[in-house]
Amino acid sequence: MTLKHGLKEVFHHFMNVVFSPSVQQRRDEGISPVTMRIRQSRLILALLFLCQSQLAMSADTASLTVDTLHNSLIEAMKMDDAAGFQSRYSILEPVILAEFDFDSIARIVIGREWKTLVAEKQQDFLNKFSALSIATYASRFSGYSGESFVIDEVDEKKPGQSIVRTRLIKSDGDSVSLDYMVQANDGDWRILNVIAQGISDLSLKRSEYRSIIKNDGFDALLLALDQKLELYNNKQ
Amino acid sequence: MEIYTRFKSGTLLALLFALALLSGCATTQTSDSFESASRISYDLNDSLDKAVLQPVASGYARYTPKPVRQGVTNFFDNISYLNVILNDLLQGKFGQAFSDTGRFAINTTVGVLGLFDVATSLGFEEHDEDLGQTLGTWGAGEGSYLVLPFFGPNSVRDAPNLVTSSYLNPLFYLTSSITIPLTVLNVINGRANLLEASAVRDEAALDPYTFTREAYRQQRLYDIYDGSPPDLGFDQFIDESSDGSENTGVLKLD
Repeated sequence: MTLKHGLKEVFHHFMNVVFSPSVQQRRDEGISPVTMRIRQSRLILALLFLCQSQLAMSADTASLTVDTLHNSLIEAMKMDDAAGFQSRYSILEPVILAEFDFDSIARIVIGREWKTLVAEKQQDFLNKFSALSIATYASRFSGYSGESFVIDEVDEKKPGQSIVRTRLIKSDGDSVSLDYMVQANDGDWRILNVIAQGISDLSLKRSEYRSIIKNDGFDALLLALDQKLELYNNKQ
Repeated sequence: MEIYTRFKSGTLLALLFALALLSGCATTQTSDSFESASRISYDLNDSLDKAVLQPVASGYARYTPKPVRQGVTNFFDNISYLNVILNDLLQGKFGQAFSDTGRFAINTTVGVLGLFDVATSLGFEEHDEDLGQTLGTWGAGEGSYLVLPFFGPNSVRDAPNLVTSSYLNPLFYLTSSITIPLTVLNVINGRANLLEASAVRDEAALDPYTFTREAYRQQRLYDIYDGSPPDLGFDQFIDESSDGSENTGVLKLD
């Protein structure tokens, strides 16, 4: 059920309940208990449809989020190699910032320590972390040679939490499975984690970052991020 | 040469086996009990790799035509396939064992000692099984993670596979004048196949040791479950981001 379809359905049922001729006719005559019951059940039906179409909408939006990312990755790959890393970065930056849930990701990779950090430190980490994520994509997705993405299914775990199962199909026909964990905060669907061939990016970063924090402290982590970003900035 | 072979067959593997038996029962599922020793091995392997193996593998990849590399990969995949068949059986995958035996027979004969993978197109799909996966399906935990000098990432549960895979590899029984050059080729070709993966690690990892360890663990879990590991869902991350008191089920908490 598409979003448009779902909304239409709800609208029709809403109209039926409120403006149904039989209900209007009887309004003047006084409403009998039976009519009352019919009205109630219609209302419940409408609410049910509303719920259903919201589920349909949510599935649609979870995959839409992933689709938006995929399209921009293809766009970046299709760019002339001469355009270079920086141009791919500029294309991907707004999309990745909009489609990834960096606030939640930061909390998870840092852990309990997150709340003890002052706001400036948190912001500093968020900026560097997101910049590194964009740079990683910009570096890996270049030189288009017939790759495509396919969305296989949207697996809803709970309302507001879905796994979108996709594949990257390479030009030689080999495919890489990419599962996106996508969640909604206030109706805004964003990517929390990418699982590539069974390797969960978020779990990997969580272990890695916490190990650095544990051994050398949070500032060492910021420094390590700086050094990585430096490498990318020298890249053409 | 003689010493090399004897060392390979005897001491090291017996040692690993003993180590596996000793610590197998004592360790928890995702521990890194030998971390300091493993980090030393990791650094050793990494410097050797950066100084010798990686440059050699890059050169090999640059100058070897793709079909030749594929042939070399096929050859070594095939010649180590008896270990896959054994572990099919140990895991009770009898149909798969049957198919894999056919695969081995076809590729060894029609496929000219395994150089050509004829069997896949005939419907004999390639499988990836080893003793570590078998122990995993039998319910053994990972034991501790382990980085072995020269062999790289491993674990207490997975190390015994070095024994079975060596003894089940026909190369093991040939004279060292054949075995050693072929082993060198296998190592270089294998490393060349990992060039892309190691480039990703070098680019993305802030702490390469931990990065490699986690990737190894997840990869092994993926292998044990033949590509569909248990879905941990969203909850796996919840405790990590809150102190539990305000756990609303949505990950973004404050």
